[in-house]
Amino acid sequence: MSAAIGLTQDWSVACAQALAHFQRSLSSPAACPVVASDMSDAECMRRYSQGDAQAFRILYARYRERLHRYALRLAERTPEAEELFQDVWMAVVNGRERYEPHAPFAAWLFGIAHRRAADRWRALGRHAPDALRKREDDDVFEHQATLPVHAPEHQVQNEALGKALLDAVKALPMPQREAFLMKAEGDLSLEDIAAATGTTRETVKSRLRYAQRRLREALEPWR
Amino acid sequence: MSEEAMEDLLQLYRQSAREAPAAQVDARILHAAIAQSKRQRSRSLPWPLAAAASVLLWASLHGISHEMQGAAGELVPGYGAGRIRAQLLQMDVKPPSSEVARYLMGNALVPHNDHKEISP
Repeated sequence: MSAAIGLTQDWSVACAQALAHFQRSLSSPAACPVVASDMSDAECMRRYSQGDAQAFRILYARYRERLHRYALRLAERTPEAEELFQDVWMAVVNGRERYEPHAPFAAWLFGIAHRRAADRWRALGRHAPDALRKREDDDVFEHQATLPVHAPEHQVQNEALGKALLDAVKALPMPQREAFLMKAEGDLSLEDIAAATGTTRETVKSRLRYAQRRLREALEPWR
Repeated sequence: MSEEAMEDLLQLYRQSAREAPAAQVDARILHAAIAQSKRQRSRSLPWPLAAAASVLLWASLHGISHEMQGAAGELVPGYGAGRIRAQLLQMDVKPPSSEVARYLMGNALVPHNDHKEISP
């Protein structure tokens, strides 16, 4: 009898472990072994355009979090960000044969995200990411709204600093924010950001310089 | 723009920003991507299939026609003889051009009279 109970318990534990493993693999594709693949992004795209679904899984696992955070910080609300995120991946799926491997995949991906975001916000009647370019080039950004100030004594130092930075990023003017996010999330070069946003390298450099100055000002109370 | 200062900011940002998309969103995108690749594979599959089917069709038709010829030879009386006659009719039947050739061919076909005289 006791042996039977022990066997049943072992079986339940094994089932629970298998279920937990299955749920983990479903809920976090980033934890899948596909991320550790040596295959380059261009090779993944080439294979996916020939019908290899596993190659897409690898790419998706590599870029899902980065693109999601980019969309999250560009959009005003989370549902908008999720729509943009899905929209961009569907554009990758449908346009896989248009990808040309001479450009980095990340630049292509964030370029699609930039255009989709611009189209979406133009349709909604808001400022598109490149709408403030002229004003920014004239240094008008100095007169824009001030950044939120946080009280450091009420929060744990590191977490507060991180949160302050995220808030400051969200408060950046759109072109600077986008340039900073492409650098931070996509790890793109100045040239790649320029290509993705349809502007010049010098403009991108200038946007990043302004973004850096604003972010450092926002973090000044913690220094 | 100071490179070190920017690197510090980027590092702090990457440590702090940890959001990830919801599992349902992942599932929806992966499902769509996989469905698309399956559709593509099924579109590209008919070419080899069609080629294989053509070869199979040709081979079976070729085999059937041979069998029919064999069966016709066995079942129709005089089929074989008729076929040989048709082949012979297609052969070159021009008479030999030179005297010597005519003589030799005549010698080969008809036994010579001199032969009879010598043999007894």
